[in-house]
Amino acid sequence: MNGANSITDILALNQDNLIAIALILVGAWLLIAANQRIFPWLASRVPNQHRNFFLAGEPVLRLLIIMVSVVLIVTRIIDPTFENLVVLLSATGLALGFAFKDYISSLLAGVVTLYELPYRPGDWIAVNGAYGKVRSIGTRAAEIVTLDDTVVVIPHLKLWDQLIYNGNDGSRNLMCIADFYLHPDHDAARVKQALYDVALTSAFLQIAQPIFVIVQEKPWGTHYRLKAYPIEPDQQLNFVTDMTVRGKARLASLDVRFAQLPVFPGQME
Amino acid sequence: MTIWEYVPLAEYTPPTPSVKAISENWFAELRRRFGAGKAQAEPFEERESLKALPAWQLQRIAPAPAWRAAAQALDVRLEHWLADRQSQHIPLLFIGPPYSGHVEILQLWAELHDWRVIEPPASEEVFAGDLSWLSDQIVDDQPWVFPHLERTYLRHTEGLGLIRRFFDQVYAGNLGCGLIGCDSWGWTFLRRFWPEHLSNTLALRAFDEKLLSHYLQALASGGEDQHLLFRQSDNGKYVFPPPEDVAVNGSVHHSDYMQRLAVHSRGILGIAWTIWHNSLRIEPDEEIAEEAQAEAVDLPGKTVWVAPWSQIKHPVMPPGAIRHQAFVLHALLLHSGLTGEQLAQVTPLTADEVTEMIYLLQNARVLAESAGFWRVTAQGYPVARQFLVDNGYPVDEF
Repeated sequence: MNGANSITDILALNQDNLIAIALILVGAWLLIAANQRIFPWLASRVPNQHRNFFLAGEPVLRLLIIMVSVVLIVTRIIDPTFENLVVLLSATGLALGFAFKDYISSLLAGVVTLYELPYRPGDWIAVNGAYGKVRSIGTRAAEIVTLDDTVVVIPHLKLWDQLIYNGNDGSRNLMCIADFYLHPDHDAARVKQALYDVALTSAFLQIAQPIFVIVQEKPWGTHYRLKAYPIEPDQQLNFVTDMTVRGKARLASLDVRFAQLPVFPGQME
Repeated sequence: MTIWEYVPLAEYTPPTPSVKAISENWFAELRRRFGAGKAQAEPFEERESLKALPAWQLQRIAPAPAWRAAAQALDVRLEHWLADRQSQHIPLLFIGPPYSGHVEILQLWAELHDWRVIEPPASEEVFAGDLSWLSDQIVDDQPWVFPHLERTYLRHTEGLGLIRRFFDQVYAGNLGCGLIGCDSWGWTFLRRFWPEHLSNTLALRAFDEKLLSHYLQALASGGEDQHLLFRQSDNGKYVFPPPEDVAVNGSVHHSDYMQRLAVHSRGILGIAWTIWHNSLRIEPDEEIAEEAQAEAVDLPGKTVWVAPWSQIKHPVMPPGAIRHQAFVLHALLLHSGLTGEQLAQVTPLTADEVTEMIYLLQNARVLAESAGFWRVTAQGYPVARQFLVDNGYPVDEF
């Protein structure tokens, strides 16, 4: 190739450039660190309804900082001609492709995450059996906090080949389900109405959203699924607990018996 | 200018804030949230030279709204409905936000027309779901007015049977001709039971700046040409357009107080009047001796000072326990007031937690008790509503 026979030939790694690169890296690091603190801080101080918007801004700004830093560094150390870029990208691509395949894949998936938005900070997602609220979206991985207050780190790499379940998809509408297992001998219409009222009268209910009562007959009895939306997705456990406790009390007042354990394992489904 | 005007529910629009007011509110909210501004929480700094008006002067300058004229104006809106009332099987619904006077208007209207006023059921009757409460009050197809639909249910698993039976009777046309009043918050809950195609609903039009100025100025003059001047106490700007002899060459500055009052109160007259009532001040030497009351001394040309908007001590939501406060406020608004015992029944809070929240919100002047029922105060309503909006709660359309 004319004019650039090796990587070292095309890199302008003199002392001035190295100092400038170091300053760019430090500056980018400081900006990212500040960004990681400022957005969550802002999010904690705005009304709940705008919180997710601020949380989602952090990874986008971080990506912008990284991209600007990379462009500044690359243009400083090489003359960005077509030949130079081909040589540089070929060499780095080959090296990184072998050594950090998964890491690079996660980084790329992280960029795609910011574009496609399969999950955002504040979303409730389930990936590979882990269910929780997205706390942050990093360059390589997302962190979720489960209902048991455990942090799970999920590499963005999962985006390529895993099913990702998003409960609220950027909104505040997260459907919750309370299950009731009843003895089959009862007035189903009456119970359905009673359970509907249980959800409707919950202080946690988002009244603007619909309520559903799904009834399924099973070999062991009748399965009721009471589906409704809480005002705050974070209140899902309290909401389900509230519906369950008040639902049981209401069913007991209607003299409805609850299903007993199945005779044979596996019959519950 | 027509003060009392009724509009279909879908056409109701509260006053909208100006860009200036939006930006100022936004900055004030930012300052409050980020800890820089405490102005809202500080008590109103009374200027030494000004003092609150004595009760008798307040009564004269800013008497409580008399709803009789509103009740009479309702006739105009209901002219066709009344003419055709024999064939009306579905009652008309009159929806109003808290302190909008819809209950008083309906009661006075019923009195004017000699229609029977139906009293709301007791809490026990709501739980029992027994319609005998109603059948005792509706007799011989006489027309009726029921101003308190929101008292016909409790947000409790056993508190919805009565409202369902009541609506069943309404749809079936068994109750004859009637006029139902409902609080706007109760309606956000009860409209789930009301078919959308039955859109026979109306509301009192919101009081925008112009209407509010006209009404409050008319209240102050008592229907006479008294020429009282209302000026803002910090800058002397005129709250109402001054008389022509005062306005020299059009150079009189006009205060934005009324615009802010209309927006803050969401066009609800009872709330606007309460704030207005508490904003009036007077110079000590202009106070008229009490013995002069009997002589009905006029105050022509005198100035009544109005506290500037920024110095009015609006209630502020207490910090902490946000979820519990929201439970209590939302439940109270949905039912247009509840007893402490009922609050514990319709929220997931224990009796102790309810008591604690009531104490907290009462101290913040957001709640007040009347006849055993806790209600959101008129001054606390705007802040309580905004608090619920900020926390994602569904709110009324008013």
